[in-house]
Amino acid sequence: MPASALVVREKKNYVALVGSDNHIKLTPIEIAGTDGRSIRILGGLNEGSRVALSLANTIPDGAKVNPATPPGAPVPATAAPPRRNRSRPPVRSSADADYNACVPSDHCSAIAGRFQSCGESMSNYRGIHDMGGLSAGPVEATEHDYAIWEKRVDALLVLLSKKGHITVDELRRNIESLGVDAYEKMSYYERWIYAITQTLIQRGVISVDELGRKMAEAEQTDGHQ
Amino acid sequence: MVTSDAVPARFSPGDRVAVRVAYPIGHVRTPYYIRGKQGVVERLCGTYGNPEELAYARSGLPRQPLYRVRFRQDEVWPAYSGNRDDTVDIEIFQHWLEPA
Repeated sequence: MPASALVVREKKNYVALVGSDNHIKLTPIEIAGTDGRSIRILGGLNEGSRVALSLANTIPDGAKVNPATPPGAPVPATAAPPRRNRSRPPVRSSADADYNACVPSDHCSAIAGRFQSCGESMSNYRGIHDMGGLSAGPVEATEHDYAIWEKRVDALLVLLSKKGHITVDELRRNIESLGVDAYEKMSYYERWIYAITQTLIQRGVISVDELGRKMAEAEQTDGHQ
Repeated sequence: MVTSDAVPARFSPGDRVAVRVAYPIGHVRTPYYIRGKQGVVERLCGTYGNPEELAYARSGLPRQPLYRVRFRQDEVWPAYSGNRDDTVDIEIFQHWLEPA
């Protein structure tokens, strides 16, 4: 199935099956593997099932969606249920649909981002990170103390930038290239260290082999740390 | 600071501009939701290396003028229910702007 069909709620994986009445039903799935574009799943989904794509986090189980027409016909789906939240733009344009559904699920193409329609076209590519205006629910303000490893990641970026081994633009590009699942699940500094490492490999500062060996070595020395 | 490795500024404060409608993959700093919308240049912020190039470890030269562009919220979000005079300022590189 396309990666954008993955719905992550409280660290569990689901797809939103769209019933004949256009109500969604969150159905647990088990992921066998992914190449970033598509996800191989172990059961939970029958061939030809209709699934919602790029479902916003705020859309509850059982909500009604307006499916887009089948692949190739870019028809705007309906906007999210009206929200009243003064801290953010309350309603999005109808062309900016949160979710699309299409039949059958294996006809949809999606890379790590959101497409407006289910077609094979990349004409409306929207990066996973580019979420301005999408529904995200209420903002939860919580206190957060940085862990020592998070501070180290931050310092590492400063040092590498000063030495000319990375630009913030490369950092951002590599974060944006994360698969949908990883992007949603990783914490802020996990994304950073992933992107820093990618950049250093891309630039030839470190090699994959070197990294693998060093990680194994650290695993040995530090045990569970 | 505008030097010879920078593209000359094409717009001045007060100019009405439209954000290009394009959806390339790659590293793009122009938010999705603002593409195709019209606003007014509030100021020229300066010239900066092009992030679309810097993201791939290239030079980012010539530097591109960066503008702060002001948009009316009720034009950005058709169902906007806040104050009619609310605006949003977005910093956008020159190559994403056209005269409107």
